[in-house]
Amino acid sequence: MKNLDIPKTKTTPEIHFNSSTNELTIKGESFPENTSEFYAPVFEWLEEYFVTIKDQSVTVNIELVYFNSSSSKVLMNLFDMLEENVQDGKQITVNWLYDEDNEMAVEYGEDFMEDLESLQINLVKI
Amino acid sequence: MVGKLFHYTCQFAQDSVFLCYSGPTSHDVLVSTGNSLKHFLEENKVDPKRFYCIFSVYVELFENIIRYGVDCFGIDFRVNQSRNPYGIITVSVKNDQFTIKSGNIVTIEQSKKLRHSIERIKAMDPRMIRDYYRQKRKQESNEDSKGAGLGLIEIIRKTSQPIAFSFDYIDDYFLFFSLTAVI
Repeated sequence: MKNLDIPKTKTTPEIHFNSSTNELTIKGESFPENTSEFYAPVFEWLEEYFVTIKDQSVTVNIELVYFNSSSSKVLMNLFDMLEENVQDGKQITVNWLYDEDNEMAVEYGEDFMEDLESLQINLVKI
Repeated sequence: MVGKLFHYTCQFAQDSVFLCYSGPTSHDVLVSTGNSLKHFLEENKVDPKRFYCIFSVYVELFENIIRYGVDCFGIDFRVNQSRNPYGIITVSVKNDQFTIKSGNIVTIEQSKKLRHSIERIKAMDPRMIRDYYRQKRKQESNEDSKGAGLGLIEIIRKTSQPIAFSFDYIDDYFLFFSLTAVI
């Protein structure tokens, strides 16, 4: 399966999904003009990817220094999708990377943790 | 007009306004004025803890204008269909406190909904706001709504004082909505 590589822009994060190392990374700032349009390829890629993998362990690294409220909804959708896959037996770990100076980033990470039951989210200080 | 511009500039200087945009809004304008704001914050070595709080409130307020504003300078009033709704936004700093004010034109109908949502959130304590945010996010992510609700909660989570808002009468159809957030 082809990797997904989206370079960062002023308003969108860099996204690297590697199907051979099973590492997915979203890094930067997120306030796209059209949030659902921007993230659509990410969801399409993931849907295809989860069909192809079996018991490999998947690591998702999210390092967003800033995201707006519509990106926050997309992240919720993303975590819901990952959680469904965990419930289907997939091994997925999410690392929520944050800068300790950025208090809100910690708080948002904790909020996501509380909202998800079976998906493991680790808060990782950079 | 030139004389008036000098008057406006003096007024802004008096109010410690370092950034002001007034005119048709769009995502492009948000990005470029947002960058100017970031540069200002960087140059003035603003505490990293507050840097993204200030930027976030600016983005959410600006996005609300783009999504819900009305183009009142056009020949006809086109609610929510207008490509570039009119808006005004200012950022000022005094005694290390940042104040962001935004203004845009809304219909009477919109104002009723808006007043209701703001008053509802204003009555909540921080814990309730945090829970409400999560509840609303879950709800809206399923509905694919435009999500002003979440934007407003986002703003309130990042302010250090209760937000202030007002509606000024324009005519029988439109009101001028202004909101003040202090970080």
